[in-house]
Amino acid sequence: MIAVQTKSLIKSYKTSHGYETMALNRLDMTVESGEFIGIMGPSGSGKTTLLNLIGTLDTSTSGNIVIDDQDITQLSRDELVKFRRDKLGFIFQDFNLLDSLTVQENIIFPLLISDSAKTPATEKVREIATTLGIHDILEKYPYQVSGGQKQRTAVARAIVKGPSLILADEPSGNLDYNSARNLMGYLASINKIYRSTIIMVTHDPAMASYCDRVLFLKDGEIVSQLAKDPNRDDFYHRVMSMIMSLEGENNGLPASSI
Amino acid sequence: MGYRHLVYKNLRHSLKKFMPFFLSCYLAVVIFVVYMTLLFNRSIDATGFSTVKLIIAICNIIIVIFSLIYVTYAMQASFGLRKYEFGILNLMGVSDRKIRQSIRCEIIYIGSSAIILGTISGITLSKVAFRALASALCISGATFMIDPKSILLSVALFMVMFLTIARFNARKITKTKPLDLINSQRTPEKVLYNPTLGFIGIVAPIILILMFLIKNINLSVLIICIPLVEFLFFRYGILYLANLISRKWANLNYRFLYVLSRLKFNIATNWKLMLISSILQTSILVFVGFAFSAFVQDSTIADNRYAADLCIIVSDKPDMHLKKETLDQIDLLSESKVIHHGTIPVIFAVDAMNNSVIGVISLASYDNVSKAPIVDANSILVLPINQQSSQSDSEAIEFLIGGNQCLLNVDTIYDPSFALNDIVSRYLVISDDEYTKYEQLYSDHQRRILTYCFDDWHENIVLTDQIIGLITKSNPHYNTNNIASKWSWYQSFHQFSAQLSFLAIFVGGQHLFVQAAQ
Repeated sequence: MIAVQTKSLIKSYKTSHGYETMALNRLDMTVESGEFIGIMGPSGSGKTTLLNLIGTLDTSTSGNIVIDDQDITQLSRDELVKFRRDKLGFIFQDFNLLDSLTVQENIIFPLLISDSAKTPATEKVREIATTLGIHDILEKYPYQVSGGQKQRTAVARAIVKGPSLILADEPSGNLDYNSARNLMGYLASINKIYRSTIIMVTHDPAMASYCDRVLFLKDGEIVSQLAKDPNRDDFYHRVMSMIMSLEGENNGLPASSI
Repeated sequence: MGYRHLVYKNLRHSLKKFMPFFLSCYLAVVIFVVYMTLLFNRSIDATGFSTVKLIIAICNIIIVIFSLIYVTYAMQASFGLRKYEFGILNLMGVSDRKIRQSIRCEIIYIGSSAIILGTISGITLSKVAFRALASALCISGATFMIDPKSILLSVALFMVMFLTIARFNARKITKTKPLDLINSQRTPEKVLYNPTLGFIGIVAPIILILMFLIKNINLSVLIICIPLVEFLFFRYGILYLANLISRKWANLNYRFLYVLSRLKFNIATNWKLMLISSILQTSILVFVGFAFSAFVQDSTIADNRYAADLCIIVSDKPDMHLKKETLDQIDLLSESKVIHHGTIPVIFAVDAMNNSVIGVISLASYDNVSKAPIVDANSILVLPINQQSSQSDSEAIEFLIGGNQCLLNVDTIYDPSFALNDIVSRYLVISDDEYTKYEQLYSDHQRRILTYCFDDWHENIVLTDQIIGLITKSNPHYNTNNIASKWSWYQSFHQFSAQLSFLAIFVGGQHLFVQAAQ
């Protein structure tokens, strides 16, 4: 079953000098339900733009994006808000938590704004928190916890509603190597346990090696893709080789993966 | 735990971000209530200071305009800090309607607090302001009162203002893409630099200072010019200067109306620069206020100067002072709207209907005062001065007469070339026959001359016409309109400068608080 499909997706920007830049150039992509997809590519290749378009945070210039058989490019602003609420979960590099709410309140917030959920499922929150190892910091505020814990809180918030699609934009970008590895372990578990479709943008081949499939973007187009290898180390090396061949040696790779 | 609970909790934790907005609202309400209370004070009405009332009303309009600007900017600044939160809420699926509701609730909560506290503080301060004004205008017997209408109007005005701005802001936020809202914190501040406007911003204050030197400056032009010049100077002028001096680009905080240059520093974090700029702005505005007084009036005699359309100088026996009761007896009061007592023995009859002031001075009183009053009158009629006065005539007259024209009889009184100071622009020496007419009237009985004068004045303003007629016969260049307008602006300048100083403190103080709170 297809979870996400983009058809001839174009996103162009006008620069201050009046020139038009193509961030995405007739991009076609299909993501199966329950897949864990990684998107890689050099800076400016259109990775985040693609994620923002799929996440309904931005509007495309032309083309279609179909998620769960629904063409989101045809939805109104109000319908998009409802769509985000019911179908999508977001994980950002900067965590994007509300500092005025506790960890528990941040996690539970998506449930409270849902029209159907009148009583928040605190048990569900506790269960997810335990899975992610943040059950002991539920009463703390974001500014009182570490970066890794913040990101796990963001993950918990993203999955609490059981969305069909989780979008992660450089989720390990602000984390140290160990925290990043732990986080990827959690995401892989969530993908397996909840069968959530995950699309993750990353620069780090080590993080990409957790994905089922990695798409490589360059100049707004998918230039290549790699499917998961039974051996994660081999997959990591294949991803790195691909990156190097796309960008040139060492170019665009984080220090941790070199 | 529910959605509302979390929204309320978020608001409580965001109070610091609302401080600029709250302070802005609070200060605007305080100052507006003070001015509204003065405007609606019937005691000031009774004194006939219509110009003062007019200026207070103008100040109120200026305050509303400034408040609107500041409250809008402060609200934008406060909500600017919270765009990120709204972005996250929208990202998680909170509808635009709910976000708008939240914003409205927050505005009502903060706006109401500001209005309640501002009104209480405003009422308290208005009593002090009223006393200061009464003292400055020598209003005796005036009582402080609060007209409920002034409070109701203030509350209604600000509530409407807050809700309108809130609606505008809420719409703006809910029309923005969630991605832009989330990224708002990362968006670098815009660099605004316009060399042409920068140059104008530097030249404009110089032109304004030159305008101060011209006494016949138009008040309404000035009201527009001061904020405009300040805006140009602070928004573009300083930046232009900074670039000229440092040869480096300076960034700006575009959220504020009064924008400052910064070199290397991040203006959002470098509030000290903002503070200094606020003090500078306040100082400039206050200076502008005082500049009016300094340029327009001679400070050495400012406190002792009065203005009148007609000044009648009478001389009594040394032991007889012209008193209010005397004027009452001669029916002066019944024809005049108000009698105003100053600290010196000058009695003014103010004819508010004709916008005319008649000053009556008894020379015999001068022995008892250290400083004789100066009367700026359109017309001065000097009746015979009693030679028994201990003060010499010439000395008395020198202090006494100032005006655009003077009607006197030299032979009887003194040598005008010696006595008249340069304040008198024109004077007419009337013939013995003409003078005798007045002398005769006066000599017969004080009541007769005054009754004659004021009766005529009241009937058809004949007295003024009679005098003008006499003068124009000798001096065809005499123009009463010029004199009237000159006097009017002269009066307005003085009062406007004082009001402007108050306003400067308000504007500068408000700006300072808003920025310091950030």
